[in-house]
Amino acid sequence: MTSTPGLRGSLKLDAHHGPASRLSRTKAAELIEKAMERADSPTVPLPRPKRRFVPDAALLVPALAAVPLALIAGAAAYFVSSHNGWLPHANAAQTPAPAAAVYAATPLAPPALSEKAAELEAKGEWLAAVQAYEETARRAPNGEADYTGKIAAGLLRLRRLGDARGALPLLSAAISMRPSDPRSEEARWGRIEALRTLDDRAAEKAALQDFVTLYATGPLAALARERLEPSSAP
Amino acid sequence: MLRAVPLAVAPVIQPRVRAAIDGDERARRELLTEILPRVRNLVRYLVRSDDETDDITQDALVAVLVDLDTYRGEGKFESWVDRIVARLAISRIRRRRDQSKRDTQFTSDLMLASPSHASDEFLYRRQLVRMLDGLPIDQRHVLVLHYVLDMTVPEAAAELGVPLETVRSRLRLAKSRLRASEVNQDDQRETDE
Repeated sequence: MTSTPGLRGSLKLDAHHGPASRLSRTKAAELIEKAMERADSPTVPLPRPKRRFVPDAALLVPALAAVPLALIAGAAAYFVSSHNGWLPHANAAQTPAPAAAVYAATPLAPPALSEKAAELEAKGEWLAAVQAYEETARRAPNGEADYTGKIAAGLLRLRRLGDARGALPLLSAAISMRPSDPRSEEARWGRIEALRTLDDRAAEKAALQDFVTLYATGPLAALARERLEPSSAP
Repeated sequence: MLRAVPLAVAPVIQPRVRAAIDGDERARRELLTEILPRVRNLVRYLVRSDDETDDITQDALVAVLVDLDTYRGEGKFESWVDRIVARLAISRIRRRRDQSKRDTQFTSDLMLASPSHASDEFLYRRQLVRMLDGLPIDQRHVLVLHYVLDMTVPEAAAELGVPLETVRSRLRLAKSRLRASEVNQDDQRETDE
């Protein structure tokens, strides 16, 4: 892929195609506004590096300190999600963000909650963002916010908290709600990833076959076909 | 009638950049919007995790705005921005490294790519940057300055404030590591098959 003689040709820099991950328009606009504000007010201090998500479980069990953070986060998220249903325990993470109980007591309507969730996500407060998205979904059953909230919460659980087991029902529910919505492509792919993580090979294979059929020309179809090859088992 | 022939091409500043330099709020916003994707991509080449990319990108955008009036139109505006971004990103990374020797945790979000972004090229660059994530940060910076920003070895040495031989040595080591990493990946693929 990257034979070093061709490094100059491989390491390309432009405004497209990465390697940075995607950025929503809202977040891009926020970034720009904050930069302009700071450039105009040089006394505003530069942001400190983000604090990372550290679940209480890791603090309570010193032996876990040697385990990679992703595993700890995943294990903690799985623990809380399997013991408390959708919502992790309010004290499951050392985040300053409000827990679900706080959302339940606020009069925020779903759109405002969605915005709050997006803000938390932008700050990297994954668990709090998940809680907010799930609460958004709960307050608008079968509506747009329910659908998008489930997808967002599911993908965050899967990719940021390492909680494939918690992600799976969220993504499955979203797909069932709107099977032909274009956004279900991402939900279906997330579900495939969750099944792969859980080593449910039969279900993963079935999901991959559905995916290839539904999105034969989509950008992830080639990867899906590759994974259907016998040699691509994890 | 005889016309005066200019001896050299005078630097030209594009009107949109000129307007931004002159403080036009809208022009500044549009300029940042235009350069943002490229700045983020360059920052991601230089840092080891997606989590840090946007913090440093924001600092870089501030630096571009603050330094904007020093742009003289000598060379492409993009290249001028690239230099500022690389300098700031490297300095931030060094400072953070000095503050704390913690390793950054690489969180794979390859699949966070939305369908519209998940082109083959996007996936390819994500794979590539994962390989860079395995390099020591000093070697990575030399590699990016040399191969992404097309700096010569002396330019990279001046930029990083290290001797020429150090730059050469880091480049050699980085390339060896990338080769090794590639061989490992090939071996892994063969084992899987």
